[in-house]
Amino acid sequence: MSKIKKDIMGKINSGEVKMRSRNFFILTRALAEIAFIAAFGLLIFIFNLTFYLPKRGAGAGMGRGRLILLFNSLPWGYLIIGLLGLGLLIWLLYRYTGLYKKHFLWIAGIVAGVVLLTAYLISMSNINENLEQKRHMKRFYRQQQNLESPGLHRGPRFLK
Amino acid sequence: MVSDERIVAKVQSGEKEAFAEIVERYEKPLFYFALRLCRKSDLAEDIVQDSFLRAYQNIWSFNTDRKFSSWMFRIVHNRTMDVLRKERKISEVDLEELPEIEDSKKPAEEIAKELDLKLINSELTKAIDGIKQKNKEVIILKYFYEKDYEEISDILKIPKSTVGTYLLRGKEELRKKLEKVITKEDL
Repeated sequence: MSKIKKDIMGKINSGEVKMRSRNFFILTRALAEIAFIAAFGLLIFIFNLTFYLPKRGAGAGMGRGRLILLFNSLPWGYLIIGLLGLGLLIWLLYRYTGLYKKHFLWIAGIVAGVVLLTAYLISMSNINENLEQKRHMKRFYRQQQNLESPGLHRGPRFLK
Repeated sequence: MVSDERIVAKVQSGEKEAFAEIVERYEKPLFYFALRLCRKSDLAEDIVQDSFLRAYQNIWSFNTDRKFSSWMFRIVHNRTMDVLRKERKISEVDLEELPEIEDSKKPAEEIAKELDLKLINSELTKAIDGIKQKNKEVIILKYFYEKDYEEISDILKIPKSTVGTYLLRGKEELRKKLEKVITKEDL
């Protein structure tokens, strides 16, 4: 018996190294799946806010000279967090699932597309308005309004 | 011969001793694989031992749809990369010294042939060690372990198309390196 084999079997037979149970892997897999779904949901919500918040106060719509206003209206914090989160999610999906068989850019495009499109559709629907009516969310949306950088909803005087 | 997957099923059902068969089958190929990547035999031995223990601990995470050998190579590859990352550099190449020719009764031609083979082998080893890590891994798996694209893709977790790209690049790098050696020697 080789030295390696002897050492390995010694550790296994003595109980120094134990096999993790099947349930452990079922549980960790389930938790990972829940975490991925939650991350997807969170990212969609974040991107939905980046679409929804600038639009919210823009009654007049886009017009001449309004691009800078739009630029200032963007919730940059959410946008940056969203993009970083999206990058991380794509990388994790690619690294830890069977998706590595496909080309990375292909996967990145599909995931980003699904997240952004869903977020955009949600921002176009009345889901945000409905959420704003809920007690806890009302406070959250009000806070976002106050935290946002000056923009369309506050008028151009804030740009000065 | 009993398939690896059947032995794994035995281990999963609690037959600890069945794991010895797995170790026996994979000890050498995995050792040489780790050695080719890290170039230190004591380190390669530690990596292989650690990899077997990890494989035993996590045997339930093995997906039976995949090949067991790919899973084992993947564990050794990951472990080797972890160790190399910790060392922050790939060790200097320790080329094996040419063994002394014990049998002086061998005909001169045979001795010359053996020496040629050893030289070619050492130059090839040196050249392989000199190419980019990703290309090197693919070259080693393809030509030293005769793994197909599917298996290499599973071991390195890269798309099959990327396996082909790395292989081409690796061969090109090797060709350039070996060309230099041949030209130098010819001069």
